[in-house]
Amino acid sequence: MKEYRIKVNGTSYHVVVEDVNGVSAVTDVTPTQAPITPPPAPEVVVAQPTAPTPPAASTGEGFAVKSPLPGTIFEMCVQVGQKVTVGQKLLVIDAMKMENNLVSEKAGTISSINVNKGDSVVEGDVLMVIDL
Amino acid sequence: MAMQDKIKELLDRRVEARLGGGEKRIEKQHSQGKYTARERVAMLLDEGSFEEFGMFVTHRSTNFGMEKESYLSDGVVTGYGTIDGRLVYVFAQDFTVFGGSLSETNALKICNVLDLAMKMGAPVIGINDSGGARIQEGVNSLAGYASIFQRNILASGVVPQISVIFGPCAGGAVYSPALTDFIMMAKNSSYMFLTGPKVVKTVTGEDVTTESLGGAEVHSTRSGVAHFVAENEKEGLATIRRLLSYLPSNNMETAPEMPNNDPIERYDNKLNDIIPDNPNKPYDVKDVILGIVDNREFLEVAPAYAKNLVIGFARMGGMSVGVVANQPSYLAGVLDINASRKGARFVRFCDAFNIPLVTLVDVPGFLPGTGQEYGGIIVQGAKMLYAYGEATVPKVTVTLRKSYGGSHIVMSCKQLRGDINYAWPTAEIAVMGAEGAVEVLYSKEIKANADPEKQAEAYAEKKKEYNDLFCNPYNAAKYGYIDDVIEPRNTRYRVIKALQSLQTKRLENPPKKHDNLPL
Repeated sequence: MKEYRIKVNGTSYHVVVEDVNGVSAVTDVTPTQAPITPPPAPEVVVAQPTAPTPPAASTGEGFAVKSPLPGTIFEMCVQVGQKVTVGQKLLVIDAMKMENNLVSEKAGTISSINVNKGDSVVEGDVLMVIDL
Repeated sequence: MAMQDKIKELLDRRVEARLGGGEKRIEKQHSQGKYTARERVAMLLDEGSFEEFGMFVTHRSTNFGMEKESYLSDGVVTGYGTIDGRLVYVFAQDFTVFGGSLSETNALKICNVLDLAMKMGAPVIGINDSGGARIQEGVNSLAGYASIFQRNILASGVVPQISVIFGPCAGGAVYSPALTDFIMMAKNSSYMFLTGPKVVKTVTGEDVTTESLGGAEVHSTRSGVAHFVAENEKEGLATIRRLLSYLPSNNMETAPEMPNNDPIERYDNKLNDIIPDNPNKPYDVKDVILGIVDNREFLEVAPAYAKNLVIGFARMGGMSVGVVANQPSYLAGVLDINASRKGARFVRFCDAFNIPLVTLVDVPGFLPGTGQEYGGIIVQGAKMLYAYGEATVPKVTVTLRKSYGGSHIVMSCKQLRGDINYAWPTAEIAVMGAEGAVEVLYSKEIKANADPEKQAEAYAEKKKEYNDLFCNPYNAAKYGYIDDVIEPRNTRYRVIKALQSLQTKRLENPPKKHDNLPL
């Protein structure tokens, strides 16, 4: 885990960055107690991806479906409120010359969807949240 | 003492040794769904083939009252036996004796079988179930670990080394399995980590369980440490037996050839339809693998890790082969950091043990993005490139569909000493896809025309021109980079014929102390 102080447009941000090992690109949203107290920072802001992080992800009950690779949303196959099963196709991402089916790893209900057809996403973007 | 009494004493001692840490502890082991060390060895080896060493070894420690408690065999069962009639060496840690902890004498027993395995050129299987170092023995226990590691290192590439984790394997102990060729874990009963949940909690504040930190699922899906996961111990040991059937006993031999009743000229008509008409649609490359190997039998290695690259062992015409295949139905079959590491290690294993490589290519490229670049995809991808370029075993490549740019080169291309490179008529071998290429080559020219309709027309026309020219196998075949374009359903026959022709292949790399692959 690394900590940076970043200044953007004159505003100072204290940013905590976790190691990314290529498997999961987004830090866990669940706040964990920092063991080493950082030196007092003027303000603590958690860096967020451009897509708004769904509130459900922080309850611990929601499972965030993240984009496994950078691409464009080609097709949406589910809607908010819909029940999904393991292995069900959630959406299709056009990436790397391929229409990649993204299937659900968990069973549950779609509680939020953060992307629309045609949106560009990068690896690790939270695409939707499944309430388990 | 009369002779008869002496024999009785021997038999009594054997009974005592076989009880390990005693009946109570054996019961406890069983109640956790775990077998004892000797039961595991018996299940692993051919029936009645086990010959044990060092049954009467006991520890030498006198610290902390250790002199008052000792058990015959000292917590590890070692010896040799056979699997399918072939010699193998085994050691199995006995959790019923001091939690299977590693002592000076117990390490000596393990070192002994490793030494013998190397001398005899036979595989070693280690069954790990140990709480770690025997703390009472202090630095002697550390010396024991180090002596084992050193032998693992020397034996690497000489004899196959397989680690089975059927219980805890924590701290420095994890490095012996890590140095070996394959790691098998059992669901719910085995875990591996360098530092346990308690230390993790104090140092980083993370709340983790042993399972979520180092269980079979974590290591088979996220870290890639475990190559095989078994539902239970019995299944796990059966898989090890199966794995060994694909491997030679040492680096001077070739894998045993099995009698084959699957006709080599068998057509698989489904393969003529497997590639979707839309080149952007995925399909399951495992269907291709199963369609071309003997009796549709394929032992996949690390099936749940970096699923965009499928690796594993199979037989073709009775010959053992290592199969490497891009998986279009997962992450478009891209090469990324994890897939490159997974593939490189497998290719190097096959090369070290004279197992021919069959590579099935459908790869759109390397995965772009900061995550990959910051993670060192340059170096990680180079491992795969290095592994293929360095390999001197027979290499047969079949390009099924996409083979683009750098990833084309990595996947056993002709210039990396691919011996025989075939392509299906659906192959697209080019430096990049039509979209990107047209953008680079013609975007200025096309955008000069203000009419968007005309622009789209021009794009489509140029893309078609590019596809016609480059996105087919014949352009590569024209230059001899593809030896032949083959009918998909006949792939099995063509690959087996190629492998048969390569059996006498002789190729040596220049002499060197050792290579310096980009680690």
